[in-house]
Amino acid sequence: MNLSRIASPRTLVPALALAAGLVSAAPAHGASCIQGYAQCLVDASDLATWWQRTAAGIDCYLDTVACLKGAYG
Amino acid sequence: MILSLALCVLPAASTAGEPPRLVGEFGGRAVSGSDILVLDLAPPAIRLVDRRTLTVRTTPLSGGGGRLDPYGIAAHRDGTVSALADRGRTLVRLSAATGERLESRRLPEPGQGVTSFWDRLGLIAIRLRAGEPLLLEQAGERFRPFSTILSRSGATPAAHLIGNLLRCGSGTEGALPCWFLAGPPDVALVHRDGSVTRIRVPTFAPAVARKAAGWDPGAAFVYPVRDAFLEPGGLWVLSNQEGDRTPLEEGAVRARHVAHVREGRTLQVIALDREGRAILDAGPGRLVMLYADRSIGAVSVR
Repeated sequence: MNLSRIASPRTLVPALALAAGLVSAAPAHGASCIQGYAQCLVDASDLATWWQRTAAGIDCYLDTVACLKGAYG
Repeated sequence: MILSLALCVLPAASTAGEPPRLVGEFGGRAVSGSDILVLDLAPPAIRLVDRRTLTVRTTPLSGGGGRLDPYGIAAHRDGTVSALADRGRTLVRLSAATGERLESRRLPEPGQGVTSFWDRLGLIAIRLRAGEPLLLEQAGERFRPFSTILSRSGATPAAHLIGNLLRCGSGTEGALPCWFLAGPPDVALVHRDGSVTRIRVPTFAPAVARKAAGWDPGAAFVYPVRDAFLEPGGLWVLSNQEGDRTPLEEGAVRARHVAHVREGRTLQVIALDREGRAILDAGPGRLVMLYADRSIGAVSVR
């Protein structure tokens, strides 16, 4: 497993597309971990270097796992 | 399947008149000998619950370092326990007696949970692809696959992420119960040789999600099981989602029943008087429950 894949250019673009759709369609009450994930990826994409984006993307993923386990577990 | 009509649902009888026993943020539990060891994350402490009297002894955690994760614990025979920290990146070893953080080490890959595979430490891995081992066992400094439980595929990255959340409960000398948070009401009994037996368990969630994938990918799943505790008399399962609403939705009802399953049969279903968080102990005549309101209480069972 290579967690850096999630922030590679190949996967970041679809993830950001997903993010945009989720953010725009979400109702106000949704305490959704996925919305947080989407916004986190959007923020990560603004970082200056590939390494920074990769590290931030991994953080986003692990934060989302934590959020989902807290929510549904 | 929504089970509830065919079975006699017994009301829970909590022990009355006792002082409250509180756990701030449940991080995991292990049962050993005369105590139930509970990792409390807020404030960070180890709470030893006497299995007979339910009195609680608290040992604050010390030693600094990052915040521990509520991803379970692995108890070791030397009196230490392991937990994850830093969103699953770091494995921490704690002294159960003093609460001191003895060791922290970076994992080769992050975990979403830690447990005991009897005399070995078990790690629940985070997977980005389908078909990869989700359970790993520690072998020296490394981790190797254990059991046949594999990661599942998801239609979207979010669905993949949700569909591969896995937890493990308390087991016996022979087997450990593990389950996917999202999906059908199955508990996998993982045996010492790594083989798996799938057990269908009662559920109070609908068979299929109310919504297809809409604004929230989480609403495309159901979440039948919150906790499982295997003892020689059978498997005890704390429900999770009850009714149509998933746990993140307003008005959601969750974890109000505990079912006892043995040899494929549901022997009884206990109705809790409030939301349960975890089964801390199970044995002849009673359960020890941790509730979502942070209290601990005994529940009589037959």
